[in-house]
Amino acid sequence: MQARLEVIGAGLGNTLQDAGRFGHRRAGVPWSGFLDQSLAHAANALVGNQPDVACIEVRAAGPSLRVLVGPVWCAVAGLLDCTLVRANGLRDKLPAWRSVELGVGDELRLGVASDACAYVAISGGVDVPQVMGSRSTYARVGLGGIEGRVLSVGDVLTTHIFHPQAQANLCATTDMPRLDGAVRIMLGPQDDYFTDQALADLCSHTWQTSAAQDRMGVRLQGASLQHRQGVAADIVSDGIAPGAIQVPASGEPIVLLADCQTMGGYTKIATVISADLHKMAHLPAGSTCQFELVTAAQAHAALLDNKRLLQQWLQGLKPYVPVGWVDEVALRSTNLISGYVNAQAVSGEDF
Amino acid sequence: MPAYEQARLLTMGDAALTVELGGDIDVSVNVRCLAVADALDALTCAGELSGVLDVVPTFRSVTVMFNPLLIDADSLGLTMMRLAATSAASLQVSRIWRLPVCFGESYGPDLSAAATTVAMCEDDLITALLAQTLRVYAMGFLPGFAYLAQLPSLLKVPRLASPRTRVPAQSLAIADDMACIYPWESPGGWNLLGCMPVPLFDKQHSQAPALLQVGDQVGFFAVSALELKALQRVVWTRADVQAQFCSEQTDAS
Repeated sequence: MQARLEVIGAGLGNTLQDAGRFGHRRAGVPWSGFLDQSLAHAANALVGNQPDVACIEVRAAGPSLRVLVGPVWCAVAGLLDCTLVRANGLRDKLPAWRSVELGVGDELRLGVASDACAYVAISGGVDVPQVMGSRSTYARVGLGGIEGRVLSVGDVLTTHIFHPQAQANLCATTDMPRLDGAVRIMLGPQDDYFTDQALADLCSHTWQTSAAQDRMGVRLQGASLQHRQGVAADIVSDGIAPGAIQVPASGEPIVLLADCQTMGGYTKIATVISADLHKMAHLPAGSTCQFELVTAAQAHAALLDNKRLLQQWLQGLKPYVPVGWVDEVALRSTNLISGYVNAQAVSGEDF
Repeated sequence: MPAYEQARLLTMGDAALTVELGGDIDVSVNVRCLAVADALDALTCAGELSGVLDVVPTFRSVTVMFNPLLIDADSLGLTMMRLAATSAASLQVSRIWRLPVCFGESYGPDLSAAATTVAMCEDDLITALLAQTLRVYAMGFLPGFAYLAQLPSLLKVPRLASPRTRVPAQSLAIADDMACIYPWESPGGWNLLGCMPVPLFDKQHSQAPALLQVGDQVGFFAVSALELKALQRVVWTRADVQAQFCSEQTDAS
């Protein structure tokens, strides 16, 4: 079946995202896509979705949704309050890390993502037209998502066809492990434009995030990273990738994220490794972060670690059984679950 | 010399590499960048570089973005360096565009000041610009945005001291030795000279959403405000745009 949910509260800056839009940087089109891929994969897994289907990325105040056509299963991954208001008026809190079945008239009222990035997955995945191979919203020029913009009151989210009997009623045995600690970086591509002091400051300072952040990048404050004397602060524009830390002449670094432009003329002192880039999405204004220099081999090992941790967590998913229920459902569905986990393992899409 | 004797391989984290062929904006360097990017794209399409996600030629370098779990960065780097060493400017087909522009009035609020800067009257500045055929050196900044170079030194106008927060889409602008057309409304610090009504980006055309590509040659012809309005009313298909404004020629560049 296909479910339909109406947006009855827009929240702030909520977008539909999937894995991203690849292969068009040559035409100037950024990737977009999940800022925290593992978290999005977790949300999708909780409702029985494939990892990369489109779901809602919440950066600030989440939306409120009402089910027009159901049943449908929803789940929250991340630090995001959620209140369930049933059609009959009953209210309940929906904790993260488990899915819930919603019927027609039921509402999901999402609160504020307290660490600036969380996901709401809907069984089947949200079906909007693919634009250049992706459903991800790139709001700057209006690509993907719903009319290329943030969610707005009155939007109707239609899901792909899904089978209500498929295992969508899952919960996690533990919260997803949060990888705290320093954000690991590799020097380059233009580290040779900076003074030795700037290279030392980059990793010794505690950086503070400002409100100047969006899906394109995060501006950091704390020190001024100086360019070498006699070297221009800007270069002939070259390619840039999410994770690159660009430093304008002001010396304040900007870490680029999924919506960043494809080329630019600021020097890039270092680049956040793929395994840690999601951490930059979880720094609301006024939070702090530190950088730690690693080698390419360490970056590779970190990526494999992430993949392993996510797989372990996914294997811990089990049917959600409300208190007082007979555990018959769980018994019957054990195979379905291991089937799901295996499907994840071969998808190889965990980068 | 703008071209390096030997290309430089730059690391951008664990998932991107840039091979740099020169330090400055130079046509022979740019032609080689395009050749390297095309060769990398061909290898990717042939399945010999699985894990490569994007290949981006720019003025003087090529950036490759990849999934580090699917391809080894060291061997990819070696491939990039090998292609950079062997790529040569070759016989290639260039597309030549002649695009319509309505100069001045509300479409070109900086035309008068730019003319003053280069010590010409407005008509002479327009005539000098229309005599140029510019090369697309790079695509970026915004989807479909082309960096067109190089303008002769007599047409060099610096960027605005304070950038506009809102540049209308379709504005033709110049700054330093470059020209551009804004495909989207955006902030911008270039000098606005006129309006170019042909769409530069078509998301329905998913194989090549940008009208222009690196290596294209672009010139302009002037249209009146009335003609501009008529052109703006047209619902353009890519085929129509190409038939009306593009020709191809083979040349040794």
